[in-house]
Amino acid sequence: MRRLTIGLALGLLASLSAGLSGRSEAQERPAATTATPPQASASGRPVSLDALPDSVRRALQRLQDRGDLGAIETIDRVLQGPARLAHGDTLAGSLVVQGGSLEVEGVVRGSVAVVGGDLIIADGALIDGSASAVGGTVRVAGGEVTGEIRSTSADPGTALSPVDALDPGSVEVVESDSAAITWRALKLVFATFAILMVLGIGLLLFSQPTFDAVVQALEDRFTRSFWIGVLAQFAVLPMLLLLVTALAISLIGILLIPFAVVAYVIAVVGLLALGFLAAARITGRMFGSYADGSPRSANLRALVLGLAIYLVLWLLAAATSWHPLAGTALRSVALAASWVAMTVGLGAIISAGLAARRARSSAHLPRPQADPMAWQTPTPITGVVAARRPLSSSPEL
Amino acid sequence: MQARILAALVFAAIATPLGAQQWRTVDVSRQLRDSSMHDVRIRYGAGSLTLRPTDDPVLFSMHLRYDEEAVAPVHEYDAADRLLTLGLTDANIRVGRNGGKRQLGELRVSLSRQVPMNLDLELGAAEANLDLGGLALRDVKVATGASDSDIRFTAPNPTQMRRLSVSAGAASLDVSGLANANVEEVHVTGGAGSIDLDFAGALQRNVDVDAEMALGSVTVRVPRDAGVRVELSRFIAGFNHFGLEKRGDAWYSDNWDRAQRRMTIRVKTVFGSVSVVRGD
Repeated sequence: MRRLTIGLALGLLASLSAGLSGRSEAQERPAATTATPPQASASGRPVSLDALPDSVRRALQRLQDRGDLGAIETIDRVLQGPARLAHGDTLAGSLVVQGGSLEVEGVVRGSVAVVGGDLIIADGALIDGSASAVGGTVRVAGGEVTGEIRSTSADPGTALSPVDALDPGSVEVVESDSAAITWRALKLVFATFAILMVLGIGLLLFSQPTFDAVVQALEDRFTRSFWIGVLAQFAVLPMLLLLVTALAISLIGILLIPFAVVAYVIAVVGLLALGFLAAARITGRMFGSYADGSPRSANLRALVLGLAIYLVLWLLAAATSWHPLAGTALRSVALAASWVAMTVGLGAIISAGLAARRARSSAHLPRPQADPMAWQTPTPITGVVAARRPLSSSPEL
Repeated sequence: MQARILAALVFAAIATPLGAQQWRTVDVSRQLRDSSMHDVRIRYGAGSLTLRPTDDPVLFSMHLRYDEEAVAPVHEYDAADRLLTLGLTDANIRVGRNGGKRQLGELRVSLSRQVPMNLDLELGAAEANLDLGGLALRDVKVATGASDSDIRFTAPNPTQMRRLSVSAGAASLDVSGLANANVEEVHVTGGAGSIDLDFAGALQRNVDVDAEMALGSVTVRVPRDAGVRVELSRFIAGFNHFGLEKRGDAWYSDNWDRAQRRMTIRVKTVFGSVSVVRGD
């Protein structure tokens, strides 16, 4: 019913377009027509290409470009189907019927294509060219076709198919295309965040000290982490080039270049993901209260909340992906927030790594020998002892 | 910790779904208007290929299911040169999955029995099922990569076939009903795998068979009433036969001198086995 309504609406729109163009049907018939035009029902009347909706015209062009319309090089006439070319009638030039079937009993001196319907070639009919059906079939019931006979169909559920775009319910199809795009975007967002969640939980379970160190660095040195992260991103490509050059100089290393590049990319992506998770945990901590429960549970809740906040941003962007303006704006917001999170996170990782290295190197330095008399306050000249020797806390037996 | 992150990322990369596939189906045919000699070329990379003869009044009909994101269909007909080309563009081969099931394309071709033709098939990793019975074939060339191919001549070839040439990479190749092929020369080349040439039926002329196989088994099944001569060149390969006797450098069947139809078989192999089996 809905399709019927939309089809009628399209028909009315087409009539309105034809009326507004100020041309009659007779004027739209090409001069090359040599005999009676096909007898067509109300929906099968000729329509000029200009009167077709842009989406339909573009879809027709795409079909023509990739040869789905057979040997048609220029579309001489467009009919809205269903239509019929009666026995004894002759039509010169190419013919495209959209939105319904075409039954040919007469003669067509050119190629014929039907989009969104069947092409039936009756006994005694002649098509002096190719016969094509897109989204339907060509049925030859005794007629003659000098060119190629071709039926094309797309699998059900195929999105953005020009076949669908030329369906009478093209408005409906546009909606379903938008829905498909939105649904695909939502699935992508959910899948990405599910992977991040798994990664985050894995980090909390198996590598909490490192994760905590990064979070701590992020908390202590946010601005510094951000700028370090920015610099690190700028350094990603030069470092890769340096690595490749170094491997290339050592002749044996040339063989390792592909592996090194892949490993490098994986490492960078891994660092960005870790940084993003650390930033998400901080974000969650900012927006939640975690007074009760164990530290590990508090960390987990902070991580979940933080990821949920970014998830909401991306979900909003995905949900509006069908709308050019709103979709782009929200996607930009989500992208900016995520980039900042990844950047500060990356900077924090580097910062934490540097701090850990400093701590390790300082731990390896030789400690100065303690002066056995250091507990004593320097004895003044007057000879008064200013402090007492500390006593051992353990009881002496 | 980095190792764990790397493992998780690799897992994520594997779990990422493949790119969207746009499966389309196209049926193409051409009515028969010229029944003189044609050249037919079929190019098909991966998927399932079925070829059979038809008595419908068409030169050919083709049913093709393909992923339009990866390949484009080819169906060109040059009426002046009488050259028909069918199949797919040689683009990257993609294997999709639908509900966990491996998804490959499909090509079904029917060719007219009324048109004499030279047939040239170039198959990649396609699984080929070719019934050439009753087709009027003058020259047949089949090149296949890593695939299972089954070629059958289920009915006699009304035209004398000059040459049947089959080259297979790493493949299993079965050619049956070869007596119906009405062929003078059979050339088979294989890299690795198995080749089974079955000349079941009544030979219509003397046949020369050349088979070269680097690694694998070659089996030639000969008609009972045909005289057989085998020239064998092998490095490390077994030779199984039905009681051929050696005269000079070749092996002969006991009916060689009196047979009306004779088969001369030359086999070259490095590793594997060669078998010549007499049919019923």
